[in-house]
Amino acid sequence: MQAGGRLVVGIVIVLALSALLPPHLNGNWVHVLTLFFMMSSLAQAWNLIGGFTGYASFGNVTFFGTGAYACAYAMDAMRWPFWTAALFAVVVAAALAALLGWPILRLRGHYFAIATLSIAVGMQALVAQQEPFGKGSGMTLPINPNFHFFYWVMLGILIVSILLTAFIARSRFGYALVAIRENEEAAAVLGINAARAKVAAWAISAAITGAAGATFAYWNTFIDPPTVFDLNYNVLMIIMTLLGGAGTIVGPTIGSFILSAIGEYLGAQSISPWHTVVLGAIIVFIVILLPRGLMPYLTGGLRAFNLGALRAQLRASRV
Amino acid sequence: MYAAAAVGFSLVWGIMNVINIAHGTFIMLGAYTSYWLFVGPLHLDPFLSIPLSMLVMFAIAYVIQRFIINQVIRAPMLATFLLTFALSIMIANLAQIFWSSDVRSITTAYSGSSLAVGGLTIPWVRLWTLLVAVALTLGLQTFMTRSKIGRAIRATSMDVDAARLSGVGVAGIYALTFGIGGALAGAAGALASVSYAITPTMGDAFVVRAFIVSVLGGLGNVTGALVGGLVYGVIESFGALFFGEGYKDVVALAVLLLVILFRPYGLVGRATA
Amino acid sequence: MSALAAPAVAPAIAARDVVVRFGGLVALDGVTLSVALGEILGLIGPNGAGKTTLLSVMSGTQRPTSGAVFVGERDITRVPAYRITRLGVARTFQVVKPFANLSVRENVAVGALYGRHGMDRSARAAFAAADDVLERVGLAPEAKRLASELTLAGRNRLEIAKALATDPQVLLLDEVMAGLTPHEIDQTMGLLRSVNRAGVTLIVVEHVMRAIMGISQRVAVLHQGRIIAQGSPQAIVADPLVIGAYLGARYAKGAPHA
Repeated sequence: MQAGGRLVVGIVIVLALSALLPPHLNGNWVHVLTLFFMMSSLAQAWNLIGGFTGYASFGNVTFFGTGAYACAYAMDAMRWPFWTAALFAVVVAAALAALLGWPILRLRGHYFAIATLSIAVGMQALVAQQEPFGKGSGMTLPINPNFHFFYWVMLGILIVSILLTAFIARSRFGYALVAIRENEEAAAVLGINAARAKVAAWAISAAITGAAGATFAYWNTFIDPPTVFDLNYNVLMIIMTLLGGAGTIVGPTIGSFILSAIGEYLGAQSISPWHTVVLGAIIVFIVILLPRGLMPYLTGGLRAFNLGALRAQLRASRV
Repeated sequence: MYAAAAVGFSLVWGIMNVINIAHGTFIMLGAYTSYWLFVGPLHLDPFLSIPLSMLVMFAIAYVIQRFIINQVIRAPMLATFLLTFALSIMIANLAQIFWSSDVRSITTAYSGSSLAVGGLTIPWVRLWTLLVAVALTLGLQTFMTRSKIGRAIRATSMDVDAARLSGVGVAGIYALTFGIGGALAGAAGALASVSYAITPTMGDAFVVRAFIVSVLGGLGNVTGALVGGLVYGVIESFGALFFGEGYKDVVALAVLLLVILFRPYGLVGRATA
Repeated sequence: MSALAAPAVAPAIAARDVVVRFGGLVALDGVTLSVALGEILGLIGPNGAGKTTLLSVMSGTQRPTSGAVFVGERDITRVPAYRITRLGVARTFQVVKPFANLSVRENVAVGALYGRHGMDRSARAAFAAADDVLERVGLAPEAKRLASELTLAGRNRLEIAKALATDPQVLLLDEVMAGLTPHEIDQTMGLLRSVNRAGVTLIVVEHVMRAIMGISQRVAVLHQGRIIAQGSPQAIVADPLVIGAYLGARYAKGAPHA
């Protein structure tokens, strides 16, 4: 806990200082880092429902797309300024999560995964049919030529999401979420209103995701259903979180940093098939050899490496 | 076609509690197997290459289960879910690297011809596809209920530890089950090669449908998958008819959600533990 | 049915005509049972008699097919489990359900954070309350360890500690002595007596006869989903119906076993 606490403080300080960087960076680096902040925020948001609460959502990308479309609609059709539009997007995304979560969060395991997956796919198909949203051909937003603006907004969202996670992890609410993950029935008989806590966790997760989606829409100036409802975002949220350590405070950001760095090294700009093959191999590696993510190694150093424990754990998980 | 695509998926899910996202890429590989046999020196008809396609996919799936998925088969569900997802993107992209993303297709002598019954015309290809799907389903059903291996598989699905105690090699049974799932995907791929465009990403559409059909039919319920496939085809057509072609998927997914929420054991199944 | 007079005041907890069916299986077949304030009721019966199901109905984790459950005068039949806990009814699980990746102290603190007085106190006060409970049940030395690292006896004790941390007025205990050594059983019995002296009503489901007979003021026998007898421990051991349906069958087979 001590080492973990220092790590959180250290990362928040580094992130806060990186706000000073943009004037010294070329356009490409500003772009890369903005994207990194965005993916980290998405992973931090996923971690609240998937990592802390134990509900592996494949539908979080829905809130990214919803946030993007809500912002685009508010700015384009209603001529709202960005900040009002973004706030609107956050509210819409959180409300959608609460609405969907009430029935869906009663499902467990595979059924929850499928239900959220089908919401993600269904939402994309549904939005592609709506006239006010430009049907399948998408929407355009006003152009803001100041790309440093998006760097700062995404960074802000990330820092807020980390601080929020740290606050929740130490709060009464955070203990409810973890108790639900560990054993929902036991949580209920200790007085936890599991249904409400789960919905609240998903709504907060959706609010962060919606904020990132709204900012992405303005940044990209153009959105269409396949872009903002892209399931790959959802998968990346999960992989980044698992790589860093699910249910930890800054694990998702660390996982996102590593994956983004690898992606950059392999040339993330051109979506090459080899890039995806390597991503697949990394997932296989994480799932089999790093089920708890990197966090134990970051707080405990190489002492955390224990071949015997790893082998015992593998023995327990296979037949 | 949907039924053929879903039977193997449903089997693996029901028996092993593994959602095989890579099932779609198995179908794709099966389709390519048929394609290469068709354009190769043998010039084998896709319907005749079904057994070969099944054999190839059985071997691939068996190895994948034995050496990769088995490592985390008892870990939380997210692990197998992600693992098969990772395999699926690896296989699809390797296919793209080696075979390019060119759209290929198989045109046989009978591709355009249909059977006319009264005012109805049914393309021969679809008729044959239906017959093969029914035959495979019934064959699998017989295998699962009558053969010794089939019974061992079903026993394992009910209680892993009890099966182990009574001398069943669980790891082998799982690999076999996954292999059979792969073989069925291979057969579905061979069938798909006749009527669908063959590309490295052709499997994606099948996974989503396999999901829906399996849930509609009830998990691991072999004949249920057949019924689910037919029901799904009807729902999709009605969705397109009433709401417009674009809403086809939305309606299908909405039905899936409702089924999960209200009848998670499938339309034809019963609520049993 | 024994002719025990109904208590004059409202019982601490009561079940009335409770029926629970799982598909074709009848787990509880019209159970009526009330427990007075401050009483220790022993609930015994062969495996599959419906004891755990009855506790589940009383704690709200299982909805009855028909019938009603009361806490004091309040009907709690349709009240969700978490709210029943906040009304002062806590339970343990026979198959223990620790929060494996939390420390022992955190496990207990969750009960203190969300139980009957949970919302009235700060997180700091809840952790202090958790420390008190750990002291009482003798788990204080293990407070910092992960729940998954505890021995079987430790996990049973943790079940009790979590339930106690919710400040219950009624505590439902489901075989918390299973698998313990005689010495550990004595310790647990002492603990339960002291909990009861503090005013907590107990329903104790147990297979360990020595413990049940030693601790209970009244014993009820559940057999095939029905209460077939209730009365003082001495009367129950002498009841021919009980001997035939339960003790006889068990003792004929040999040593009692959980």
